[in-house]
Order: sequence, then structure tokens, then C-alpha cells
Amino acid sequence: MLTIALILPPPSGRIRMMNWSLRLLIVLGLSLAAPVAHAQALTQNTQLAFGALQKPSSGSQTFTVTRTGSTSGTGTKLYGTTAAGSYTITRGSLPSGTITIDIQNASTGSAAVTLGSFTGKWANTNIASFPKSGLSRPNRGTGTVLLLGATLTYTSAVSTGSLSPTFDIVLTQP
Amino acid sequence: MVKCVKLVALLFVLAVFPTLASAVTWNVSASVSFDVPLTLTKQADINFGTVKAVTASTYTITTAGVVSATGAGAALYGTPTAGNITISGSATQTINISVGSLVANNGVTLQNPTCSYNGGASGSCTINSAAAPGGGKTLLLGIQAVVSGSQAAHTSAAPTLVVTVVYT
Repeated sequence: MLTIALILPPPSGRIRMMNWSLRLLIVLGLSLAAPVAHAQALTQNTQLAFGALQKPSSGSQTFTVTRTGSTSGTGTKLYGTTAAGSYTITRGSLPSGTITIDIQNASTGSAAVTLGSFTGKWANTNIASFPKSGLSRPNRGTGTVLLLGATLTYTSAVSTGSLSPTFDIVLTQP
Repeated sequence: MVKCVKLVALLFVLAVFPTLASAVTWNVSASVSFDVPLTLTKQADINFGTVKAVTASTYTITTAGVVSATGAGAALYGTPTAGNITISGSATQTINISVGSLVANNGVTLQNPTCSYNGGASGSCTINSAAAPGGGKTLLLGIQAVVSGSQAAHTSAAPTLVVTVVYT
């Protein structure tokens, strides 16, 4: 929008100023319409999954699912599926440029379990930690896939049963 | 003229500011569950008791602990017992049971194991998606022992097998 405004011809008088105003009104209209017409969307292809982990008999353990889906850590998986999170983000017709992706507000719903140390992959860029700036904007049309891995840390105080930890994927356009 | 300039400036600000920086947030969820490991506790080995020496035969012990013999073989004395294993673990996750790695000893070869889990009918020891063991469920084991006939009196044989239990 800023570029469009600057290429408008300079005003030279009252009548020209009215035209200038009208043009800026058009600019304003375009600007307000843009977030609606080109809203970005996220589609979850695969949920970030840790499977069923063994409740520690004592102390604290960790279990990591990497962005490639491999696992590591001191904890033990008993059964179930592990998978990296996979999300397709589309941008509509927004212009090219860079973006920042962050992971925020991770919550597990259990005081004995924390979710953190997110890693990722955006297009061909591996992300060792978040936030990560300077990333290319999502591809037009098909979008761009964000792969996510993370680490669970849990203590012997954890209860048996299922949890659905949540987190925010935040995409910022400078 | 001044009013027009102010209007233009206002419109310009309104037009440009919303696009200077914007953030889009999506809330997503992960999945994890916590459970207890499987444990197997052997309550009793399979015991055929004492059978006739120097006689080839095939002995069968059922999951109920009843021994029978073919040909000239005979169970002489002692108290036969079926194998008995207590399986403990998840209260919700089903299990797969299998028996393998049958290893002969002193001319006695094991074959055709039979199993009864959680009071079910005796049958194959390949049991898939069996009930979650929870605090403990019983697996009874029967089997056939093929005796070569080379065993002298007052000797014993201790062939082995492996019971494997995994979560589905």
C-alpha cells in the first residue's frame, strides 16, 4: 500500500488535490479490503504427536519429536504414533517479502508436563529455535509447509491418561 | 486547501498503518498420553511331573494342567501344572501376546503351545488385541513335549520358551 501511494502524481492545486484525495480514498479502500480478501490460512496436515509415554517412576524425563519425526530423550514411548506437526500456510495474493514465525503460549494443561524447545522447517529452511525472522512468505496458491518438532518434559507426578497440549503459531509480516 | 491536506494526511495514515505490520495467530494442539509399562510375573513354570523314562512319547499338558501321553508314554507321579503368568499394565491399551523361541533340552522338544488369557478359551498363543491387563490378568500356558526316549531314569529336562507381550 505504501508503494501505491508514493507513485501517485503530486497534487498541484485545489482540483488536483481533490483527485489526490479520491485516489487516496481508493488506496484506503484497498488497504482495508486487503486483510479480508487475502487472509492467510493454516491447514493442519499432521498433528504433532508424542504417542503414549511411560509415566516416570521418579524424577523428570524428556521426550523429543524432531521436525523430521524422529525421537530422542530420556523418556520411553510405550505405544502409539509419533509424528512431527505439519501445517500448510497459504498467503493468497499478498506480495513477496519476509515473515517471522514464532511459537507462543504453549500449554499442556498439566503442571507436571511442559512443552517447549520447538524446532521447525519452513520451505528449505531449518529452524533451530523460535522466533525465526527473515523467512520467505508462503507460496502463492499451494502454500508453504511448516514442520514442527518439540520437547516434552514431564515428572513422575503426571497422571496416566491423555493430554492435548496447545500452542500458538504466530506469523508476523513486517 | 489546508483542510484538504489534512484530510489527505488522515486518509494516508489510515490507509498505510494497518499494513505496516500484521500478525496472524493460529492455535493448534498436540497429542500425548501417559501410561504404565507392561510387567510379566511368572507364577508357575510348566511342569509335566515325572514321566516314564527311556520311552519315546509326546506328552501334552493343557492350560488346565492336565497331562496326557501318546504310545507307551505315561505320567507317573508328581503334580503337573500349566504355566501361569500374570500380566499387568495399562488399564486401557490392548496387548498382543505371542510365544516363541522354543528351545529343546535333554532330548525333549517343545511344540504347539496353547494359551488361555484372562479366563478365555484355550487356543493359539498368538493373541492379538487382547484385553488391557490393568492391575493383572492371568495367562495360562499349555504345550506339547516330544520326548525322544533316550532319557534315563532320574534325569530331568528343562526345555524353554519365551512369552512376549507388547502393547498394540
